[in-house]
Amino acid sequence: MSFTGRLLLIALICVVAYIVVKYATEPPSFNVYGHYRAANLSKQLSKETKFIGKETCQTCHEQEYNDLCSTEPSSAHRDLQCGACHGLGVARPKEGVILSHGCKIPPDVTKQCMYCHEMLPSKPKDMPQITLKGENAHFPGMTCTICHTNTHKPAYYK
Amino acid sequence: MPVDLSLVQGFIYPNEGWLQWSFMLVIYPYITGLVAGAFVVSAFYEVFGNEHFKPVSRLSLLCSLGFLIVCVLPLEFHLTHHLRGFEMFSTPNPSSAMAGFGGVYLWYLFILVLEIWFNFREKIVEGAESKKPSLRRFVLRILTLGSHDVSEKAMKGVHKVTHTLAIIGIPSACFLHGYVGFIFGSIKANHWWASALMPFIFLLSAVVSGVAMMFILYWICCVFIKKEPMRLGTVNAFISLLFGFLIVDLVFEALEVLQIFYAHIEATPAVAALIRNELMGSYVWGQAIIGSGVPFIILLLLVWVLPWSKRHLRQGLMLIASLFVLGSVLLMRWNVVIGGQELSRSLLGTFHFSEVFGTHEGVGVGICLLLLPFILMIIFSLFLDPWEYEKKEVK
Amino acid sequence: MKRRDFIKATGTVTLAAGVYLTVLKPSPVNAKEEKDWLNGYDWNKHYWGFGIDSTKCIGCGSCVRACKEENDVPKDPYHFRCWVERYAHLKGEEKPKVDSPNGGYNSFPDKYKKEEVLKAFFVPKLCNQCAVPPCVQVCPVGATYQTKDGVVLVDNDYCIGCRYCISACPFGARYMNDEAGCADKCTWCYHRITKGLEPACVLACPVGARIFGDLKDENSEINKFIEEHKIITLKPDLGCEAKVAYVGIDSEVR
Repeated sequence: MSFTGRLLLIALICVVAYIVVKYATEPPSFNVYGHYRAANLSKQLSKETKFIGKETCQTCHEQEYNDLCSTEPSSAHRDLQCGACHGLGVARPKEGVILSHGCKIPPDVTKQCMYCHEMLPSKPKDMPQITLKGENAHFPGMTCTICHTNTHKPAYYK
Repeated sequence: MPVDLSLVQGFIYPNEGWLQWSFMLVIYPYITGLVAGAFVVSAFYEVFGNEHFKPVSRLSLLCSLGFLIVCVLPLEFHLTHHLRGFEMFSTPNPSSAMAGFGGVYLWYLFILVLEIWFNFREKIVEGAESKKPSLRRFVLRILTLGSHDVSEKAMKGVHKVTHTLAIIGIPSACFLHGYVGFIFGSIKANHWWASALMPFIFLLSAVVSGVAMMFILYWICCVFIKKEPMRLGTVNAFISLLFGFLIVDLVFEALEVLQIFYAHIEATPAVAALIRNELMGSYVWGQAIIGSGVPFIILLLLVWVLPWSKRHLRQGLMLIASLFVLGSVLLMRWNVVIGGQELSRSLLGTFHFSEVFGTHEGVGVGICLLLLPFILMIIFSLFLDPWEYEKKEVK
Repeated sequence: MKRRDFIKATGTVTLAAGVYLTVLKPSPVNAKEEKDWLNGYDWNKHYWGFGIDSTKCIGCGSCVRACKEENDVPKDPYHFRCWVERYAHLKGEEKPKVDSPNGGYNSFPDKYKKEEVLKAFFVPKLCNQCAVPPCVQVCPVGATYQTKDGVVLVDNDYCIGCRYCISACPFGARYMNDEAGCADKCTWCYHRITKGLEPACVLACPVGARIFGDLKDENSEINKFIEEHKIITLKPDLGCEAKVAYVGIDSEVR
């Protein structure tokens, strides 16, 4: 066998070795649905959900839920989720009982209110907006809850 | 790596504040370009029979192989999962330009190794038959594949195959580097990259850088290793080759920018801001005015004003021009890869990126990677000896 | 056995093995196809859609905070699955001013006090889950893919971290998840929507600026939203066929 023939043989062996290795190393769930591992779909689908809706909160926080969702005109926050202000929280029920979650009362309530109610020209006009500084300041230096005592029904104040 | 958000001009998408492709992706096209460029130099003798390139023809092949082996390393280094890099070959995505590079790369590696194998066939057998046992003899004996047949008939066949492989090698080398341009040019999201001219620009600048590098290597070999004068014919051939390709390269690069500005597309003001804010130093001054202008003027002088000048002057000026060209092409890669990322895809702003040395994809590692092909080339030369070939022919 | 015969035999065997593997493809895939990779979820019954009513957005950043919490996105100003931009046309200036401090995580400061603002609005952004996604096209290994119900996901056990997809996304929706060393992106909370829940950002939005639903369900909110409004999508010229439907934004929003 000549030099060239041997070279061709080596080339052939390389090509075949590549094909064998390619198929041997391809992950098992590859190409089930497409050019990706179907196993990842299982992983994505079984990922734990965190954010809970207010219906779940209601089971323990009945009063707050009723205030929030009441149909009174003062209840302007009725479309809000609890998590919008209290943080997402991760409710992990154990034997049907939620023992802990990460939700908390906002440490700086005024800052929390101002996330949404800070006066900005880019906000929709019908959004209730105030500013705490300048000429038209809305009771600067005061905490919102002094007047708007129930933040779940904020338009009500004493 | 995170970008200093205080240096942002205008607006960038929040996720863009993290530069994804750094120095490794700059030297990847640079090294790949040198592969293609070096091969083209060799092809001028092997295929087109230009005798002036004979002294560097075989060295170019070994140099090309050295760079080809190293050119995937920067890609591999910049991955966050280095071991998963093999997935590129086990499950290549048929629609991905980057996965396609794996195929183009393997094909060219195949052609180049074969070309070298056939081209050095005589040399390999000669070394394998030497009387003194040595590591070189051992390796060369394996490379002969057990056949020491160098009869005239056998060699005729070998020469034929060498010639054919060299011819196949030219489009393969051009495709290899044109393809690198395509990897960037096909990204429609980035207006500094998205251009059908990108593959041509990459290819032409690759040839220019390869020619410049081979001239510098030829100079080093003559002055420091072989201690013999450079051949005037070879120097002149290098000058013409570099000048010719430099002109075409500059024309294409100019056309690309001209196209962006003249067509005045949505991205034109953003690209103008990019050049004005971030690329003034590295692109306008570095790449265009100094990096391309100086060698162009030197070559123009050599070709037009000083065609009868002495060899020493010619080779000295050509050496300076080659160094400038190498620097300019490296800057061109930087301006494409880093510059493209400094332009926000929102077309509303730019930011500035300053390279850091330390990391595994920083400049330090990059310089090591740029030196590695030369070390490989020296090792190959020790085994395959590309010099004697030329000496024998001269006699 | 002669050497010649041995070589011939080796050649034949390798050739046969190669033909067998390439033509018949006896990959282990077929054996496992029976398994339900979707955990019982039927992705043929859904095609998810997203709408954004920019006229309602108040820039409070609830969505950004909720998203980062839900999806474990680093809380630095470089990684976002969902963010909010502010466009402001000021008097005497030709082009709008755009900003997005920390992606809107801490809401927006009132920085245009001295200028007269002619027009301003917020633009919530997230992954457009393009119908023709450039990120999926460029991924060299198949580590990012499009599901049948129209969402683009990243397989972070397979991603090699080349970041080609991040460069290829025209919307800047992708970022590098440094912990996993992989590209990451908004999935419209795929783990939630496939369980019948809303994405975290939609749930967190206090003003209903984000609308989510199933386009295959005729009575869904998203279908109503698309029917009732004139909608536009971002960067239609790039041919990605972005799927997030916007209402109330100017054409200069990219």
